[in-house]
Amino acid sequence: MMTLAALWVWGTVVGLDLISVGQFMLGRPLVAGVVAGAILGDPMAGGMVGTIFELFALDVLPVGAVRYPDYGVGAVAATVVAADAPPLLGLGLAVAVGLVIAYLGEMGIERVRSLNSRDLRQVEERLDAGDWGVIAGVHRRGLSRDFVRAALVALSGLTAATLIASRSFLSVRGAVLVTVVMVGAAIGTAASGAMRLGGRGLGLKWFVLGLLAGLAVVLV
Amino acid sequence: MSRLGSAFLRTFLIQGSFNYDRMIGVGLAHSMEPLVGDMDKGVAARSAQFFNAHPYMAGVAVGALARAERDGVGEKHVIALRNALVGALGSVGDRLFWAGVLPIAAGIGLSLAARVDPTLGAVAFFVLYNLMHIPLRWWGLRAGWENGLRVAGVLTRHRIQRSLRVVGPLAGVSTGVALPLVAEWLTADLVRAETIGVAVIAAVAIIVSRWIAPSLGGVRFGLLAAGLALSAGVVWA
Repeated sequence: MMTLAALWVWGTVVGLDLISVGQFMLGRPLVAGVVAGAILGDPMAGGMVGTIFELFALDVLPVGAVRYPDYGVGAVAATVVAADAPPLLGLGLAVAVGLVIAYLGEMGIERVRSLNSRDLRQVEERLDAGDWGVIAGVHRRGLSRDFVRAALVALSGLTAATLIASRSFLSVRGAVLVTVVMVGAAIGTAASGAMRLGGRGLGLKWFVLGLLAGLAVVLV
Repeated sequence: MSRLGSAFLRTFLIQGSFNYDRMIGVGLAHSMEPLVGDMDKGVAARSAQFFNAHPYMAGVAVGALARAERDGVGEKHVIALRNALVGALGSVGDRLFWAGVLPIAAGIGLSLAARVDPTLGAVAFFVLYNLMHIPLRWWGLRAGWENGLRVAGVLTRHRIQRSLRVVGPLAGVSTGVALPLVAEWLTADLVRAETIGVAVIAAVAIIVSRWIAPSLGGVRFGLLAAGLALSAGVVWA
């Protein structure tokens, strides 16, 4: 129970760090997964899960008002599924669960922003009259909403992960298949994101150069 | 704590009230309050209008707008400065961090996770990233506060422009190196046919997200793939 409580606190911190508090990258999946793994006593599972979600996250370019998945909280929930299971069997299912939670987090962000807009319109006159108290109030309520969002998404993720981790509905072949698909999807998504970031010119050439260097390391 | 220190801490919460009407305008005003909170109501009203920028670079605007208000340059100039900073700070911050420092640090973290230890990879990523992030926030706030209306000159300085030229290629190399290392690590326990399966799925992901459905995004593609794989996995007992 204490472990789950610690994971809930960590999942909430991770969710808050994504946008509204700090953006220190505690919410980045690699960090979120490793810490969740350490809490569960299986840092390797957290590391593998975090790495896969980090690959998915490389596709995200959070510019302007774009919405993006909460991969950090997804990684925390996924680590609960993957912990203490053989990587080949637990990883795929864990990532599938984590992706659902990450998407839930994205929808939550949309909801929070809409509620912030509604709140702002209700006090717009006083805001435009120049009242620092109203500014502080709107800001405080926005932060509170994101806190509630992060806590709820983390709780949902941990509940789903705990329920799924305790049941085995996939055969060994089925579990390996899901792992193969999830790892492939993550690598492809990261490569696609890096290619988009590199553009068509020099940036893409640098990416290909890095890719070749990485391949050389692997082969050597 | 000094007023600048207080404003600095508040910049870490600048996106706390993000909304579709004024974006981070209210957050900007909240960060400016320690610097201009004793001024007339017009300052508060102006400060909370629409504003958007990269969150790490928004400190430049916090400092510069507060300085401009303190200097009494007039409403017209404050609004012009505010409008000019929206595009400039967004562009510089996005290129420097989201397309530069973040993929560089992530690539290094992933490479270390795959080749040495995941914990070391996570720590290296976190430390490296924040060694750039936190000092830049402080520098931005101070640069804005010291320069006021002249802050645009700071953004065109040689060091910033040189950094922008360097981070893009480094980001490409860093993520490029990381991908094969991570792929090797994650497929280490798979047999040959399964590793080929991973490569095929990766190729499909690239084709779908680059050419067939670019707006799908990684999470939706992942969910779709997960749904199909889970269905097949349950049936394939």
